[in-house]
Amino acid sequence: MNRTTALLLAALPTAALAEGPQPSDSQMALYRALSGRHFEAGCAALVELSPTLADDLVWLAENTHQPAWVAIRAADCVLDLKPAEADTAARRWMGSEDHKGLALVTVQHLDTLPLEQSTALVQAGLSGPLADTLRPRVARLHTPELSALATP
Amino acid sequence: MSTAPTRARVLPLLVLLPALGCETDGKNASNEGDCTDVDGLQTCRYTTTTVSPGVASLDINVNGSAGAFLVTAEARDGLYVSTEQALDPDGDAALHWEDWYYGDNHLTAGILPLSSEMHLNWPVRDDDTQLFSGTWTVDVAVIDYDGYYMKGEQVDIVTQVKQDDNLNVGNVNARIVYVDGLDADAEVTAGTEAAVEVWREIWGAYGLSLTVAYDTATDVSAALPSMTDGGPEIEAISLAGTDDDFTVVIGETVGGTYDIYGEAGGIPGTLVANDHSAVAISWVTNAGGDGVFSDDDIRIYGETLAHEVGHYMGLFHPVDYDQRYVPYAWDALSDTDECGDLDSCDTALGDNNMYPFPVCPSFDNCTHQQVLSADQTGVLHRHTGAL
Repeated sequence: MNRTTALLLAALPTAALAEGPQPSDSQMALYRALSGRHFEAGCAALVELSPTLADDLVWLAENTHQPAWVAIRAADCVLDLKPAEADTAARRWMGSEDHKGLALVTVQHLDTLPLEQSTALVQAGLSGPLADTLRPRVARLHTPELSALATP
Repeated sequence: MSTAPTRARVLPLLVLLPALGCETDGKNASNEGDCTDVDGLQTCRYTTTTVSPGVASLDINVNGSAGAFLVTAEARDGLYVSTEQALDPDGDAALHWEDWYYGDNHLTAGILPLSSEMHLNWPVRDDDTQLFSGTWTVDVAVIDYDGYYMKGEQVDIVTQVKQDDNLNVGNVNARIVYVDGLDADAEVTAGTEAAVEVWREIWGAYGLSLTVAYDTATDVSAALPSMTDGGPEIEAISLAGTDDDFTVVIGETVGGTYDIYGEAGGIPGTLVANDHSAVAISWVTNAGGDGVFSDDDIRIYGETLAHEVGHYMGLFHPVDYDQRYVPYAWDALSDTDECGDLDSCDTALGDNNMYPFPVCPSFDNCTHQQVLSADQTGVLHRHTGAL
């Protein structure tokens, strides 16, 4: 290996890190709308910013790190506006230690989702690595069929 | 000539009056109510009644070295309390609600009838009439939902005067309260304590030190109320503190949602316990999707604590935008740019701690927001809780 090749190889991971996943125009528009310190406009104001709202919000929930509240608000808004389309992602969040914040947001929505969907989400959460975190929150849900699932 | 001797007697009496009335023990004595005087902060509590048309006049005696006063007023639920005017000892208006109610610049929410509780800190800025010795008068209005003045209404009053006019150096006592057992979550406590150090660094650069005490309220739900609405649990948490500290409550949701990362109970807020007497924080919303505090999360969480307690101490956003990112309102400070569009505002104010959103030049890469202007620093130092 010559010096030039070694330098190039050494630089590659840095370049890759700097790039990271990059947002589309609609995702960037949503990112901007969600990043405000105070979210007065609310989720409804996002609808006109993206033709693929559910996919874009899920992408932001899973790929945004700064500021922290963008990911949380994106998850909250997709579960509020497009709960059916968010189902696959929400199961992923409930069952993954890497998505603890998103799982907590999902629990907040369980009482308002169709019972079949929310039951599956609870089961995904309680059978995964976040079970201890989620169980007391599930126990406090208003839907009896769901809160009962928290009892082993 | 009979007038000369009379005048001669009156003049010394006038000179003596402030000394007799206001400087006993070097403090702001003779204020109405049940008073305590601790560490340079006098706190007096009493109840009064509105007279026609629906205003209660409060007298606040201050001596020459008083730096600011804070009025906290509370009427019964369903009514709205706001400041009508503040008069200096010469009878001149230092503040009148109409001067700030209709404009595009925000000075204090104390003039706004927002709830049954009202907080007014005076002075707010360097441009305002500063305190001088004598009796100040604050007229507090009580109105109903339709805006009609309500006479004969009982109003609980707390007046606080700080015996400190140093606007360069001050200390703020902050009490951070974990609710619902969150103090047992090491991720939450470590992240919060690290963020407090960022907050301490931000304010330390502007002469404000922080004395932080950590506490718990295990019996309070992590679902915190909206601080716009407030709630009795906030008053209960705040009651366990002192009359000279700010309360920051760490919970999980604010106002029933994860959308709010934090919210201040007033601009300004109060030092004494009531339904709005805290800054409420969601730890989840500050930790992000993974629920873990990264270094960037901690830095922004610290900026958030400084931002929200900054609101609580009287700071507004230097600029506010509508949903199309068109500026429509500004603070009342002369050294924060009255910018006219998003780009120029981002450029002029993007690193300011009170800017309404983080400026992220590229995705996931946000500018540090740790700058305060001289006038913003002055507002913080003038809050009665900056001792």
